[in-house]
Amino acid sequence: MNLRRILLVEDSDRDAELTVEALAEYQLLNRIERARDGAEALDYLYRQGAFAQRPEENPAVILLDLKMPKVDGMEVLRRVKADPQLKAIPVVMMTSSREERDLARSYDLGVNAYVVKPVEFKEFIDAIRQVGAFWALVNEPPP
Amino acid sequence: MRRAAGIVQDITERKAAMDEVLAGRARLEAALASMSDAVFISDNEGRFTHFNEAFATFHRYPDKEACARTLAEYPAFLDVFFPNGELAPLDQWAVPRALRGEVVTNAEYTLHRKDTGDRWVGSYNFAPIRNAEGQIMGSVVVGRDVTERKRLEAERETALAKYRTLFECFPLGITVADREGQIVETNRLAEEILALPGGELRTRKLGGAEWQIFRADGAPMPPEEYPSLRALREQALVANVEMRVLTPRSESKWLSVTAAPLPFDGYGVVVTYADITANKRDQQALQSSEERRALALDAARAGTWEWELATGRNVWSDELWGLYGLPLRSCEPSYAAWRRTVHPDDVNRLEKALQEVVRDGGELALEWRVSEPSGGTRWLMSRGRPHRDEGGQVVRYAGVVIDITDRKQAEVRLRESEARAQAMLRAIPDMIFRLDRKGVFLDYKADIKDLHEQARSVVGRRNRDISPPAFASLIERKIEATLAAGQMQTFEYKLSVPEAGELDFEARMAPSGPDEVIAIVRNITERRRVEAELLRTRNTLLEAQRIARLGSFEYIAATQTTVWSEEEYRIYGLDPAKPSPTYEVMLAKCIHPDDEALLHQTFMKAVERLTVYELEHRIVRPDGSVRWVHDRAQPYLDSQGRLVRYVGTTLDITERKQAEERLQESESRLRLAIQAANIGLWDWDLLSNAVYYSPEWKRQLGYGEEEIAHNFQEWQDRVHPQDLDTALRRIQAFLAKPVGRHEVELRMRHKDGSYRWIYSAADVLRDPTGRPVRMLGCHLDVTERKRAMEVLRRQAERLQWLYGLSRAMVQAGGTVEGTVMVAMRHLIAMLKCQPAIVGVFDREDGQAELYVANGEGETIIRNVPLPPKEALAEWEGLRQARVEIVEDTNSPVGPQRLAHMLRAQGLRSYVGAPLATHQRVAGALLVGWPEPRAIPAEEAEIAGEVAGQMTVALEQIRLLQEATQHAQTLERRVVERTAQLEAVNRELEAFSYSVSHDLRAPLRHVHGYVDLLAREAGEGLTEKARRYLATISAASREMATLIDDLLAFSRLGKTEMHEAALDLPPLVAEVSRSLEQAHPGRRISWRVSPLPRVYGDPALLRQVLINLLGNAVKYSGPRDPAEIEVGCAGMEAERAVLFVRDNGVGFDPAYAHKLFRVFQRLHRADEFEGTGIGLAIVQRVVARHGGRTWAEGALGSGATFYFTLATTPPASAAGAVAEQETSI
Repeated sequence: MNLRRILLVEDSDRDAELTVEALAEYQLLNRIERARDGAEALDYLYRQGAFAQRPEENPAVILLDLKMPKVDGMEVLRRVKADPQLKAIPVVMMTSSREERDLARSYDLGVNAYVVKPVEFKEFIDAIRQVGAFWALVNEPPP
Repeated sequence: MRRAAGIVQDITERKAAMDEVLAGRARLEAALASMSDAVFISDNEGRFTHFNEAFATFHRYPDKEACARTLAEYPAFLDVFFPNGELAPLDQWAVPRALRGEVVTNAEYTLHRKDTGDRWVGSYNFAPIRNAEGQIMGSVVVGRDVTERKRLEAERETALAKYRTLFECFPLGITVADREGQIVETNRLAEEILALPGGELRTRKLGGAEWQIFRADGAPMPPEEYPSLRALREQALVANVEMRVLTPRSESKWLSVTAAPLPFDGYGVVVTYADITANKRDQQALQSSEERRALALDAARAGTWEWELATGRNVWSDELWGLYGLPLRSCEPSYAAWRRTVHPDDVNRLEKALQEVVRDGGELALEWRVSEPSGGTRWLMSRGRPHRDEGGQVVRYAGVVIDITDRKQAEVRLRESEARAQAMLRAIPDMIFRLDRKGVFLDYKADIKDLHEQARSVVGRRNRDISPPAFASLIERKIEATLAAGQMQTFEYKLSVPEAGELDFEARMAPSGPDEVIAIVRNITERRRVEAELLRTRNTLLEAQRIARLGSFEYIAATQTTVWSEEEYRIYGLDPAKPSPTYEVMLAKCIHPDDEALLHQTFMKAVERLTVYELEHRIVRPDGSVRWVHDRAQPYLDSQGRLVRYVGTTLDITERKQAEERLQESESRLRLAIQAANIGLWDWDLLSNAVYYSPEWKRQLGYGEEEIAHNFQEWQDRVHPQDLDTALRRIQAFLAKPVGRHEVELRMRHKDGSYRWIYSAADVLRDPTGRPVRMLGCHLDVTERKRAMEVLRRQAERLQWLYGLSRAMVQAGGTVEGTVMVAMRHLIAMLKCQPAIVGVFDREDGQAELYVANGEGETIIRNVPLPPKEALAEWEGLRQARVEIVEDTNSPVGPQRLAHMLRAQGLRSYVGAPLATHQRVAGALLVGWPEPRAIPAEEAEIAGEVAGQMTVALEQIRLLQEATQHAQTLERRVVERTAQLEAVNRELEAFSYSVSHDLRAPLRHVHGYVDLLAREAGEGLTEKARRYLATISAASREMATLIDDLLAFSRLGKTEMHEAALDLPPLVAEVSRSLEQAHPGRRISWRVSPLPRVYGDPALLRQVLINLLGNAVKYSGPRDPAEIEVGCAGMEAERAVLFVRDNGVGFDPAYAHKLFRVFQRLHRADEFEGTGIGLAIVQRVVARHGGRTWAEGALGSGATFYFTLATTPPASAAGAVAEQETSI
């Protein structure tokens, strides 16, 4: 079964690990590509830099942390949604805090989902699960 | 009887008639038959040839024929007596006497019928009848029955004698006086009392000056108080006036005087005098210290006695001896001893009474007299009571004896005075009736000429039963009125009397006891008739006089009295019922004091020369009003040419006089007004060209009376040359066509050389052809008015100019330079000054700016050092903020340094004015001239005013500059502050943003990995290890909650509020529902009372409710069920006080103040979870809405949290809210 990749953009290794755990918990067996910041994420998406050799196929979903060094999540989102080649990729914004203005801006830029990372791991798992299930499994990727 | 009188009087006529009778028998028969007197004619033999009907009646014959006898037959049955009672022989009877030729009138004979016993009196007129030859042919006798008249006359004689006797016997002095007070009647006692013997009293007048009369209090009694005069004046009884009289013989007497007006015609007043001199003396003695002693004696004048009936033993107290007139214990007390002391006249009466008392065993009460050794008597009274033994038998009497002499004497006096009164009543010769309240006649006394014959039988009968009902009612009413008033009532009535027709009566009714009255009744019929007639004739005259307002008067020379007509009384304002005043009284009382002497002189002159008296004079009425009258009277002389009287008229001319006076007044008023108004008069005779100039006319030009001649030239010479033409032209124009009046204002030269403004107005007088002959005018000096008007005009101009300057300065652009230049240009134009200088001082840097302007241009010199301090100090005007005027800079007047400086600049005079506000001198204005000059005050004022305006303008400029600078500074600061605030805000925001992310991430990691660890380790973990992991989890979770709350709290201060009207109940319901869902298993009883609509931010208020209701749920955890109440506790300063109450664990009130602080908790975390931020959020939200929060509670008994919210829209948002509401 050729499952499409999930791009996880997360600067925190802990959060990344916890996210992967949570996805595994939910039996999402997609291959997870990780970018450590926004710049890497863009490299990945545009197949440049360290990711120049990656397969052509775009990820099924981008799990995007908001607050990151260098290029932050908001910038990544803006670039993705501004790019006709990329904008069809669903983006789930994940953040530690429910700041109204972040939320509003994210939706302005065309985010597909906005998830406040719960402190409770269990809740976190649930949130990831819901997002992952929806975009990685249920939705057909755009052609 | 009365009707016959006319016939009797003229016997010659009768004789002529008799001749006729003899001539014609039939005529005679008829004439005789109609006569009421007995007429009988005899022949010369004494045979009765003719007699009439009355003859028979006269002689008491039943039939006429029986009379037809000869005279000789008469003596057989008729006795005739002379008036003296002697029997008249037949030859002395009327017929024989007539036949003997006697002609007699009123011969009286008493006739007696022997057969019937009738007795009557006849009055006879008789005369012989002669034939042509003079022989006696017979006699005619006319007889009239005068029996009744004689009887009445006799009765009157008797009565008069009786009354005269009574009059003399009265125990009072009596005088009777006529209306004038002349004494006409007096009795002996009056003569005695008044100490004037015999006829002397009768020549005097009541109240004459011979008597000096004093009141009881010792003061002289004025004549108007004399009882006699009062009774006359008031026509009323004046009773018992006590007075002391000093008689013409200088004897002092105390009298009690009573005076009563007499109801007689022609009589005036009766006065009685009781000599009370002795009484008075006693009274005065008693009033002294005697009084007390007498009273003491009186008290001692009582004694006691006992009388044993069986033994006859008497016991007398000591006083009894004295009372009985015996020496003390001079004998054995006994009945006999007592009996001896009793007055002989009383002994029998006493013994009889005593026997009866003792026989009946009754009480004893006796009064008797005791003879005094001195000869007098005293009255004693004894009262005693019986004492009985067991058998009821009287054994003893005991009693008291009292001296009652005084009381007895009083009784006697009373009886005497009653008797006196009775006698008085009887003495009054009118009808007198005594009636009781019901109108029953108790007593009467008839009039001498009484026509009430039946009155004799009325005693004991009721008036109503014998009189017409109307009359009876009247009398009963009058009786009631008299008794009610207790005073005499006078009234008149008409009554039909048999045989007399309707008569007029006058009654005076006075109370004579509690239930009876005495009425004195007079027949006033005749008086009424005469009065009525008199009244009728008089009324005609009066009416004429009244219409003419013409009074008439007579002055009777002999008595110097006057008689006035009714209209005369009216003119004088006096009562016509009163007697006319004497000449003297009139002069003193009725004539205006100022005219009194004039009237007297005028009248006396007329009396002396017997000429017509004529005078206009003033009178004073009793009410004080003054009238003018015109008197005119003519003398009437007797045959000897002596003055008898003046008869004249009085005309009330007050209205005419008043009109005259008003005219005079208005004339003098006008004259005074002209004087007061300083109006000069001129009167130009156009024909002679003479002009009269009044003193005021001359005075206006400074001249005295003699300094200006009365001609036209004097005027013409003084008119200002510029005005003369106009004035003359106007005068000519007016004379040519005089319409309205001539008016001109012109200048005339004053004596001092100045010109005065004169207003001249005039009118013309014409001759009958219409040609102007005189011109009359007035002068008014209007110089002052003109000058005042000129000043006003100049002031108005100046104000206008200043206003223009003020506007120009405002328009000068708001710079100092422009303002100053504009002002200086105006000044130079106005004052023609050269130059104008303005110095503006700036104290701060010690520099000044000088602005110099002359007609050609302006110069500005900046940064001039301020004038040296000394120079400024010298300029006092500057310091004192007043205008300095220097008319010559060479003079020592004004600041000398400045003068020196200005001289150097070529200035010789100047006006300096400070530019001064009340705080400081900001500069100075100086206007100068190159030459010394007199500077009018007005110019200095203008300079001062301009300086003032400049000051204001410069001050405004300065303030405006300052304000502009200030505003700019402020604006800059606001920008800076705002930037700072914004930076801080940004930092804060970044901070909280990173807090919200970066603080939460580690917690999430802790939690996540604990979870992973637990899963990884699985069953391998010990129980303890699992508990550790759980604790780590819980701790991190708490930390996360804390961070969330803190962030929410910090965000509260930043978010914008969106206030709107809010209905609380749905919100409460929503929040409580979600709380119930969050706490399944809890039983919560919600009670929400009606809540007002409030205004606030819905999201924030929702948070408040979540926190408060959440707390309530949390802290009532131990309760089942929990009770939570949401309500409104009323209003506080236009805000609703809302509360949330629970029945939870409550709190310690001591820490209530900590409740609302951040992180403050009153419970440990293991009791109740919480971060300590919820209430802080509540407080912050409520505070942002302008309200307040507080809590009440106690440990273990629940808590109540209060907060207040507005119930009206916030002022700024009111419009918006209203809009919102309507759009919904």
